[in-house]
Amino acid sequence: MHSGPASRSHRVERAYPGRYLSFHLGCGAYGLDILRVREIIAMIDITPLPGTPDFVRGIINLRGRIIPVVELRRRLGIAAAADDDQACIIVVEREGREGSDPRLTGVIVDRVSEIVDIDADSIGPAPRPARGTGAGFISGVGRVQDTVIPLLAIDRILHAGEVAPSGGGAGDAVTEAA
Amino acid sequence: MDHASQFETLARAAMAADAHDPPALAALHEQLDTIAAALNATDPAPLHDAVDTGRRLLTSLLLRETDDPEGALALVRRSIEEILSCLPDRAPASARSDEENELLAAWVAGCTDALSRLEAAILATEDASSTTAADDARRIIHTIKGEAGVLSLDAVRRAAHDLESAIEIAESGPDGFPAEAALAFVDWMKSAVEVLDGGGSSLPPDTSVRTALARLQADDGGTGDGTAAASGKPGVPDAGGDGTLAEFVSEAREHLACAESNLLRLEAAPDDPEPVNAVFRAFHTIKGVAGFLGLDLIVRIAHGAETLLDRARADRTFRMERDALDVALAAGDLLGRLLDAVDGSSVPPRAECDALLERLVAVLDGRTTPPPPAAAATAGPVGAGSTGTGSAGAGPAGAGSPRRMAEQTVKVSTSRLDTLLTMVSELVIAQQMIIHDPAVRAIAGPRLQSSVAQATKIIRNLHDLTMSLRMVTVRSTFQKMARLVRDIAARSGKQITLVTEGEETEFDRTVIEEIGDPLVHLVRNACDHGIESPAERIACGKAPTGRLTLRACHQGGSVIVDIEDDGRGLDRDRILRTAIERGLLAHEQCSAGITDREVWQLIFLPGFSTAAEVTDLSGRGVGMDVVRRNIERVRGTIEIHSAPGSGTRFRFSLPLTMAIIDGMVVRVGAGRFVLPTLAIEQCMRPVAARVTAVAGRGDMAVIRGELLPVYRLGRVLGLRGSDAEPVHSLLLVLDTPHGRCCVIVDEILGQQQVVIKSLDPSMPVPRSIAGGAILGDGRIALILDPAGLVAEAADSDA
Repeated sequence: MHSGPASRSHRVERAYPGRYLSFHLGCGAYGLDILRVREIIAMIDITPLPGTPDFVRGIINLRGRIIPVVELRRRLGIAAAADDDQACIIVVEREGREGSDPRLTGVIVDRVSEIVDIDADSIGPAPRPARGTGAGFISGVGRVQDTVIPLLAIDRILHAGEVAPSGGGAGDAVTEAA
Repeated sequence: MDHASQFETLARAAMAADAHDPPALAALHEQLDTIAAALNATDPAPLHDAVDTGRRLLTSLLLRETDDPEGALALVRRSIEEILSCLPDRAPASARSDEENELLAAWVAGCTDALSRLEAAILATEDASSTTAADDARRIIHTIKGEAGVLSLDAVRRAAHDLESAIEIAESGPDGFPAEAALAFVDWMKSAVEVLDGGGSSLPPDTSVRTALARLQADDGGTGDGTAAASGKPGVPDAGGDGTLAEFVSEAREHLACAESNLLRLEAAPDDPEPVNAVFRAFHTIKGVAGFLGLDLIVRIAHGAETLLDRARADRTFRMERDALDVALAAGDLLGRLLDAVDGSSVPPRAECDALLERLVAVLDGRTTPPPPAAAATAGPVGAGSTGTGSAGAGPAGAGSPRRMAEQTVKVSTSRLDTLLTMVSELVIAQQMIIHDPAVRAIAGPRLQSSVAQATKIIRNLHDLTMSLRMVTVRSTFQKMARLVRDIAARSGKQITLVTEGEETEFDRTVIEEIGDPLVHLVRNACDHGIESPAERIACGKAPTGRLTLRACHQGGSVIVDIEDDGRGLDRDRILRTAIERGLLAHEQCSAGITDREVWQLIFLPGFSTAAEVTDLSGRGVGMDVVRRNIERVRGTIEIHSAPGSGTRFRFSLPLTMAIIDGMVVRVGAGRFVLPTLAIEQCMRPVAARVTAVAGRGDMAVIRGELLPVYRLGRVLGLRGSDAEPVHSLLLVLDTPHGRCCVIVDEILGQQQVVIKSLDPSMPVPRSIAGGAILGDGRIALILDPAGLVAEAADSDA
């Protein structure tokens, strides 16, 4: 088990024991490092942002601050579904420059469930992904009671720059229409 | 030990010494002896070493043991240089003028950002897939080095330089980028910046950097000797200090800045009594408060300067020009340095005070004084008369002169301002939500309605007021350039007049911050390399005095800043030659007709700058990469116009990002967008006949006899469900820096002031989107950048 100091490597995120926010997406539960969660807000109006990858739903006004919102379903390759009234936005703090305010990004999930403690004995390395989608998006797995939930490598997931818009995105609509 | 004056004289003596002049050498030796005696264990080891080496060399010189006295003396000079460089508090030898202090403050502010970028780049070098990271890191280090050089931060400059060399060596080796050493540098710089930010000037010892560099050398099989052991001098100053004192220092600095700008005004118009009075008042105030605080040196200098100005006020035949002006400026600079020393972080330059007072007396006596070694030629307008030939009146004796009509101001930290702005925005949104809440709307009481209307009005005013707080005029930025121009002109013996236009143009604070450095680079380039010497200018049939124009204005929703000189212009052939030499351009490309515009773009290429320095290619390369990056960071563009022999113009077009704009809110499909009202020339229904499809060029419309491209906003932005019925939509004619064009929108919803909020920089948004605005209902509308829109539409056509 990795019990060393929590030095975050820039290439591979690795899960550490601690408290996690668990939430549901499709039929599965996932965990998100609670230290990265700024707040959880109800679904609000999202303004679409042209030219961004398709998993970026748009931008929202978080009390005067404009932050992007990512649709986690699309990002993780889970079939899309309409938002119901349990759907909400988890506002996540991202790795930013030291000293400056952390960058915030909203993440749409189906519903949040609870906060769980995952200690060193219940945490394990991420399984190697079978397919290309979502490679490196899981930083580890945690055992919660009888189930095992994947813990998200959230910085990797939210790093929009390295992902080219996949087919059907707004970017394609330009050529489609022209 | 008291280093300051000792080392001052030592440095001077070393420079003046002659290898064949035994008495001078003996004196030098004696001074080194004194220093050696004063050294103690707490002084760094290299200092001990350097002093010893110097003494040994001098002894052998004196005893004529050496075959090459010149060479030996050179070595002595080098060890003395080393001694000086060992002193962290070398501030007295290179103390900063008030101007530089401002530059320094700006640099410190920007440095934190640069360091975090550097850190990120260094970390990225460890990622094998990143190819540009090492280049980025190198460029940032290089910039830091250059800026530190300008600001006389020798320790920083040296460390950065050594690191640069180390990187070069390491990268050619098997280990690649030396991340450890670079990170040590970053950490050290961070603590250094902290000290500088706190107003101190003694930087922390760079031991860690040295150790890391030494280790690198050792790994390399080189000589990783004991340079690492340097334990620095003590003395991180107490940044806080006494409140009164701190207040005095900050006020005195303002007075000095005011004095300086007025002195420069005087240079242009020596007969104007008002600047004289203003300068007099500035020095007088400083003197008064310094006397109260018991700061004797400051009192002496301020008193001297005040006497000089008083003479200028009272004596009509005494004019403030040349010597008098130089001395007054020097007094201002010196006071600035004395203020540095007030907090105890550096040693007051006593020797210079005496020298300056002597010069003051000499000027008052009407003698011409030898200028100090630094300022050689006098620059500026040709005032042929020497002291004492003034004809016009120097104005009334100023006892009752009107007070400056300065607005009463309070200083507020910018972070508080930002918080205020955010909170007011939230207030507006919260209020909108209350008004639109069904429960509130159900109450139909007239009293409630009038209260709500009242609150709405107050909040709107509050909002407008808060928004205006962010805006600053470009005046002070331009004023800083005045001193820069004067200094360069003086140093290079050129005559340059600085003309500024549109100083009142208001910019968003963030934009001002970003254009400061590029302006310094370009102004320096224009003065150093663009504008010719008087002789050369006369030979070309131009007036001997060169002209540098700084201009700011709003144009079509953009902010424009011009830096224009009437110098020799860019040298197309040399740029091309250098580009080919550097492998940036193939020969064939060059022989094929390459446009001027393309050639000028070459100077922005990273790596081009070093070539320019080495080959002295009319200099225009230095730091241009930095200029471009800064401007691009605020989504601006740079345009260059240059004609051989008649000058060069750099034009920054800055979009109004981060500023407040008057916006036209339009609907396209289901989305709302904001267009800068200033960019909108005209608005009309697109009569079917007006818009026609032109083969190969898309839709065009004839507007006032001009054929303009027509862009359907919905298409350019990739929106669905719009443009269904073009007959019902509207045609807006836009004026952009890239020419005029028309856009089609579905509906105009209204006009309002909006604050441009930047979007998350990690999101790859199209160029047509300048940011987001939060409208009254709390929802976001995207703000469109007309220039980006045109560029993007042109790209997608191609």
